[in-house]
Amino acid sequence: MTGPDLPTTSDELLVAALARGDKQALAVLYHRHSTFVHRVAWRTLGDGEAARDVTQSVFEGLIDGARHFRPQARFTTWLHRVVVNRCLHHLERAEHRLREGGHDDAALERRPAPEAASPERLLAGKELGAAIERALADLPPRQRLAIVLADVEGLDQRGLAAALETSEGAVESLLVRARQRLRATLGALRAEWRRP
Amino acid sequence: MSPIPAFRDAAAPSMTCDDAVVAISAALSGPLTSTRRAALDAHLGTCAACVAFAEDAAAMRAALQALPPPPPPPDAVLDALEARLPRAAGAPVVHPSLPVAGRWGLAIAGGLGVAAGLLLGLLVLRPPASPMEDTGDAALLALAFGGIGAEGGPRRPGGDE
Repeated sequence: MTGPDLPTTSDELLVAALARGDKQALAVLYHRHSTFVHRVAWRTLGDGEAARDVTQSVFEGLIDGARHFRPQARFTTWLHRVVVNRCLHHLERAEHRLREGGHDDAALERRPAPEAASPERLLAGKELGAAIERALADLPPRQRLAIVLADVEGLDQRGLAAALETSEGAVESLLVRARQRLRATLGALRAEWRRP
Repeated sequence: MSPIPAFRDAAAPSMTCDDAVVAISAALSGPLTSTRRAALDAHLGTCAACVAFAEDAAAMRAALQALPPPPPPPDAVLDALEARLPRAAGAPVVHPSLPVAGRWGLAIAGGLGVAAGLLLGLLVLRPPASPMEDTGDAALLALAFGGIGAEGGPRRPGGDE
């Protein structure tokens, strides 16, 4: 596969080239999709190191599995599923470490100190952003992923159902619970986040 | 087209607050069916609590989208992935310090060594061959590569049977 054609080549053909060891195909796939992967991981996991690990892990999975990719499958569906699974796996491991008595330093670090959440400080947009991220981090993992994929990445119900490997009805239920919980957490700041 | 006000839509099916909340949430991720949309509009026309939820949900979505984007992943990630590529592409796992010719030479030498050992063992230990035995090249090759056995091996003419 040659350079000039690569930017317009479909993901599926690039995966086929990657299965033959094409380094350029890997680079194009990476530049096309790594920002999405990294952003979802960052929003879901809340820290840069974990997001980097998940990003690398997702593309390692792509390299290792390229030979088994079915041409009729849609690449982005596969990608969304792998991102979801890697993020859930990472969160499960972090939760396990906490249960075993360890500390999730990254999670602790990303959360504002209690005094930082006072209404006065939250008037600043930056603090509001931190409060939203904190509210996201307090959601259960699948609710968090559903909200990130729906509201930040703009996936529709069908795409969400495929990514989360569940029914569209279950996605609706996940999203409602996530929105209700976010609303309860951020309720005191309603005037701020509803400001146009 | 703007939705028909609920109080004028007598044909719209009724909707509970629980159903309305689900529909409000779903509407943020894509269009509703016309029936569901009509039922939701009818409900919102009469329920201030669900109107407040709809406004909050839309505002939270906007606030999430307005969060500053995280930085892109570091270049080192792609470097690490490219280093992984040859092995995943089906290339054989090889010792890095041994050139290809050396590897083939080693394999051939090993095979010949095994063959020679087997041949020597057979010549030393086996009883004298019968005059009918085929001791030509074909038999030696079969001996070297495991062709001799109780079953499936070349049979000597006039053997044990």
